[in-house]
Amino acid sequence: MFFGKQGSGVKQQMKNTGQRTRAKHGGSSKLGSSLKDNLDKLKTDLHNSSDLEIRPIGSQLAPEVPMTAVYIGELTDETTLNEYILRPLMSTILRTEARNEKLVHIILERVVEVGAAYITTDIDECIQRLLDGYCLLLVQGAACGLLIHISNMEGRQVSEPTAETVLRGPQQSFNENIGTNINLVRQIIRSPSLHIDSLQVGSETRTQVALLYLDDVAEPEIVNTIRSRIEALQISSVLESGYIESLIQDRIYTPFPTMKNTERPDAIAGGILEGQIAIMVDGSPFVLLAPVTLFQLFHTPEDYYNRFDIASFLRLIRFTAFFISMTLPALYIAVTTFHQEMLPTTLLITLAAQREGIPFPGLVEALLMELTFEVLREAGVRMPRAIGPAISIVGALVLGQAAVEAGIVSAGMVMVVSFTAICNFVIPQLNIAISARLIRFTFMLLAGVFGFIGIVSGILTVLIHLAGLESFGMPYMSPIAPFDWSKMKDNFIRAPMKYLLKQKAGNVINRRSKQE
Amino acid sequence: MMQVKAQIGKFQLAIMILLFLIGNTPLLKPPGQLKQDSWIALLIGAAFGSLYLWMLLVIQRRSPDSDLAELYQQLFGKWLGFALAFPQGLFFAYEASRNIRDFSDLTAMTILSRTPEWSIKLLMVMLSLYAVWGGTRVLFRLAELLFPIVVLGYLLIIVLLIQAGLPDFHRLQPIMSDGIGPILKVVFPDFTAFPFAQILTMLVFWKYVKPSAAIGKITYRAYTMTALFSIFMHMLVMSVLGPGLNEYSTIPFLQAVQLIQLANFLERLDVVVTVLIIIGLFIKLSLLFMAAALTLSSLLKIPYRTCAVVLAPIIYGVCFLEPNHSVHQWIGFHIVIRYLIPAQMLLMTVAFLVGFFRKGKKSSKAS
Amino acid sequence: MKKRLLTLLCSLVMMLPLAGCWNRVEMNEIGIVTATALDWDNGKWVVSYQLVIPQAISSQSGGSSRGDAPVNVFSTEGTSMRKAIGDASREMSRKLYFAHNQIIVVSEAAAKKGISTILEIYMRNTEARETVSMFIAKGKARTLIEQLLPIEKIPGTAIKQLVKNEANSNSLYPDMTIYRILQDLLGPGQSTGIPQLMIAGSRQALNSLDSLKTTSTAAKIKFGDLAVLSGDKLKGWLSQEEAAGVMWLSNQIKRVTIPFNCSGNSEAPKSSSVIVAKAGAERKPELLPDGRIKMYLHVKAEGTLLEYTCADNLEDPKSLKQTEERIAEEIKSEMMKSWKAISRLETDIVGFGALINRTYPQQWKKLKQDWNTSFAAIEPEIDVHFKLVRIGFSNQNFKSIQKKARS
Repeated sequence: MFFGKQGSGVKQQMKNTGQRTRAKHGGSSKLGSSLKDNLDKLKTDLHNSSDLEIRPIGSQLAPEVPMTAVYIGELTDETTLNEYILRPLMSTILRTEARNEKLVHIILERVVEVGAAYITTDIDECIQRLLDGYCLLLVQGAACGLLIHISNMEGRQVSEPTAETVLRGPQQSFNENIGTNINLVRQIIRSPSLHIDSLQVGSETRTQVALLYLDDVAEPEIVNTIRSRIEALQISSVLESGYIESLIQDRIYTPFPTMKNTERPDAIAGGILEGQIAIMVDGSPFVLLAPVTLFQLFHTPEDYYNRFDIASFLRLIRFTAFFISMTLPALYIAVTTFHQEMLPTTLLITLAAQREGIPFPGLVEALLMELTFEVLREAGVRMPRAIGPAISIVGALVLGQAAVEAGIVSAGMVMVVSFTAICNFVIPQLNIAISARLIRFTFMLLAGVFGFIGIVSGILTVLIHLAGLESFGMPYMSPIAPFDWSKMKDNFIRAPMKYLLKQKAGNVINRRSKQE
Repeated sequence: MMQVKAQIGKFQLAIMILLFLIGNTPLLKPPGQLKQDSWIALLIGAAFGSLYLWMLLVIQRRSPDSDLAELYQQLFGKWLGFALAFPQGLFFAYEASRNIRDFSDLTAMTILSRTPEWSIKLLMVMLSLYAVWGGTRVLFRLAELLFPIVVLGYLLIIVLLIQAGLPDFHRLQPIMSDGIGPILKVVFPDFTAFPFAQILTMLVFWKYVKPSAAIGKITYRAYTMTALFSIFMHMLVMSVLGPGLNEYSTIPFLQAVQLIQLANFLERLDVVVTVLIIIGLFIKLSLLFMAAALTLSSLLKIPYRTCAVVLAPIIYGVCFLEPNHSVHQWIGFHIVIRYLIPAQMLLMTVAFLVGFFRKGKKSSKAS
Repeated sequence: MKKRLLTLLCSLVMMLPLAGCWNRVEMNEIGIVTATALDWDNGKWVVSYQLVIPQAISSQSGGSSRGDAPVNVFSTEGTSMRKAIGDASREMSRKLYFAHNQIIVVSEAAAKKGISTILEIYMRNTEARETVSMFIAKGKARTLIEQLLPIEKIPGTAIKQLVKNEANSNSLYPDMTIYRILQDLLGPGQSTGIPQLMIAGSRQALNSLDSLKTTSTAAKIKFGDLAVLSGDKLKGWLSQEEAAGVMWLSNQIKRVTIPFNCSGNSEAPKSSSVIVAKAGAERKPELLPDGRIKMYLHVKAEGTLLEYTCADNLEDPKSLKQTEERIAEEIKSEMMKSWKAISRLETDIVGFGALINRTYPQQWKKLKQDWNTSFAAIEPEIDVHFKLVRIGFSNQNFKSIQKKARS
């Protein structure tokens, strides 16, 4: 619905991609002047789909000229069709001598009461638009058709975010309709320089993908890189933004995400204002943001709504939690099975007392508990909501308490695993939290073999990997490597708004003057 | 895969020099005969080293876009240059392998006494091969990532040592009880060659630094900071252990840290030291490895990654040659520091002079 | 190529667990040693270990209700110390773990034989810590680590706490860690003092849990004399009175309580006392041309009055001054007493040698040849300044106020 309001810029883009798609399919075809031929052609191209509605119209405009409205019933809004297309056409008192193409123009200009409508001669575009929920008006003798936007795609309302909740800040999230999503972003950034590029991906799904960026802030090279990578995609289907993410990222073999995804319009708007590029995919409420650094994945929109001191503190907590969730079980293994001297005597004795009678070695015990937890967690996600509490009871009582009392695992290990899990939940981006979970297992194995040295070499490996990682040409570890003091204001900590806004404004001005 | 053109920033260069030179200095135990005066020798050594550094910088400035191998060939002609640069590349690799050996000996002595050394060495070689594979850019970025860890680690240790009341600077007295004579006797090569003369490795990387005009200033600053820091650490450890105990222990730094006892909890800090040493050794090892790979690749005109893959097993193999740690240390002190590095320094001096005369010739021609 | 490298790395990581966990020791495979004792018996070293039984100590597993002793002591013997320790595996199901060893008690006989082997072991092995405190026992060392201490659960840790507490609050005995012993023995003086650990009270030992079931125990662990070691061997003992001044002489006082009396008469009972809160000595050697050595000790101390039984009013500056002088005199006499004792033993446990080395490095080279005799011949010049910084909340003694109130 919102899409129609976007103005001609979008339409222009759509036309371009339409041409591109056709070029891909080879052989082009135009509408002919015979109404019957055109209808037959449409029917064959749509494989005689049963929901294709063909309604003949006799208009007062030119009573002797047969006209037909073609649309797909399930995709269109009946009321719009009746009220603003059929009724004006049939009951108009206007008469005209114009025929053929001119008649179509008169219908467009003087009869149809719908905003988004245009004339095309391209039969592929007609088919595409029919599938988008347009109504196609064909007139005998005119080698063109009038496409009128009356689509009524089923979708849900804008609702509260479920994956990223905040205590303070807007309580809106994207939904599956790309038009709605663009609308939500436009509502926040009312700048003329907000640029929206529409592309189409997927030979079967023909999914609409939109790039959103601020013309004068985003790096043109990065915009071009992203656009060309998306345009080069040769895939049949796109069901979610994850498809795009995994296909256009810089490096495939990495556990770290080089794009951020969020369902929060304010997060996307914030990113766009900082010069990032948002990638929206129709059908997914998760919008991608690129390029990102590792550290930006730990930032939340709420950081900017809270006071700077508490926001900085929370950020530091998040980074610490990330580190803990990667290394704590490994550290525990290393300390309890290799470096017992590191523990204070009393703690060692307490832990040793717990371990008496535990049948497994520390590494096995830890792996067992971690695996159990991962299974529990997956169960929690997959399960119908109603059984949710049951799993927590099973998890907490049976696997935690009972296992300790039965002497299968030590209480210390249960504590370590639980704390690790909680730390993992602190991380705002789910995809970076997953990488921490994966890396954790490797670290645990390394710790089980080499103790502390294993962990350190594991961390070194990860750091080497991170040092080489880039997100659309931007170093993933910036502003630490390469070091950039000016960006440190909004990295580990968040400096007071005063300094940040100045910096952002400065950025815009600099880029503008560069362009001029 | 396409290789991105390596470029090193000013800040990256400074950090790399700091980490590289500090590297395994904690493991360094100066020869014993000087006792509490060894820091003076270190100071004089650093001063000598800075002269050497000046020479290297002059050589570099003459042809800022050449690396070590190209410099050798420019200065000594194609074949002689090749004959000199090739062993130089191998020497880098040998030094890298010495670092692995240092590391595996350290772990065997301290925390992993029963883990076979081949596995630890293999771990280190693979790790540094991975780093070298990423290229110069990755290596210098890695240094930036590790730098905060190293700074925090040292800071923690220094603060805790002082907090625990261990240093007693009286232990550094008397200063120069035998005059400066015995110090000067050992300053060259023992205290110049290691660690300060290793700055030579930077000659391989200077050409990537942008803007190249800043190289001299940055390098001097980083060098001075490192020298002062090394001397400070050395004095601190000496003031904790005193000359007697310092001489008695294999790794005085580790020994000093083991003595920290605070609040019944912070008393087993060797792990921090071990981590610092691992990081230091790793950076040093990888940079030397990289230097070897780059030098050979520039000489033989093959991709450096091929060189790295070929060098890795060699580095791994070489660190098994010495039968035990004592032999390893003996070779370090008596062959590497006494002969190999001084020979290298001599070579660079000759290179400096050759360039000097050539320039003289050129300018006389021009005038 | 890159992919291949990655695969290689991955497979390497996967291989690691198969290769085994070489250095891994589970916590229930180690016997945590918290105290060690060393005896010399019939030409053999007897090493005793105090092993902690974790379940008996940890409150969680409720072991104490079973009434298990928290520690177990056993000994092994051998011709060398390391051999004796190695033999422990024959009688102990667990690997002995020394990283948490807190104290080491050496018997007089073993100390006379020389403690260099212990020091050697501590320097060579990383598991053993140089922060372990050492004590000397008159008699059998093993009995000392068999004792249980009231309140505390682990005797070894408790004794370590005891000596730390003593060194901080009433520094008459230094906490002689292996590190400090090494420092002293490797320093110019090559000698050190180590406190004696003893069982006071009845000889009925505290080695059963039953002995802790009463409110007062018949015996208790405490510090006795100060053992003086020279080279690495026990040379003699300083009694408690003689040891008191050693800390002053070696400038190691942190806090100490000094008793004194009003009259200054050394025979009179010392019924007043003062606590020294801050003390420092400036020590300066001087080599006289005729070969004599003078040691100037200029002690400055500050303290608070703890109890006062003299009749005068301390608000009067004059009487305050007098009291300060009396205390200074007291400190000085303690120092002199100790000096006499250590010069008798001819061992430099106060670090004068190091001082001379610092000021006269050239002459020291000659002096150190026969340092012990030269040390005994040192003429100390002691001068003490004491300042009462606080006199507490009352300016007079209770009795005199009472007297005033009556009149």
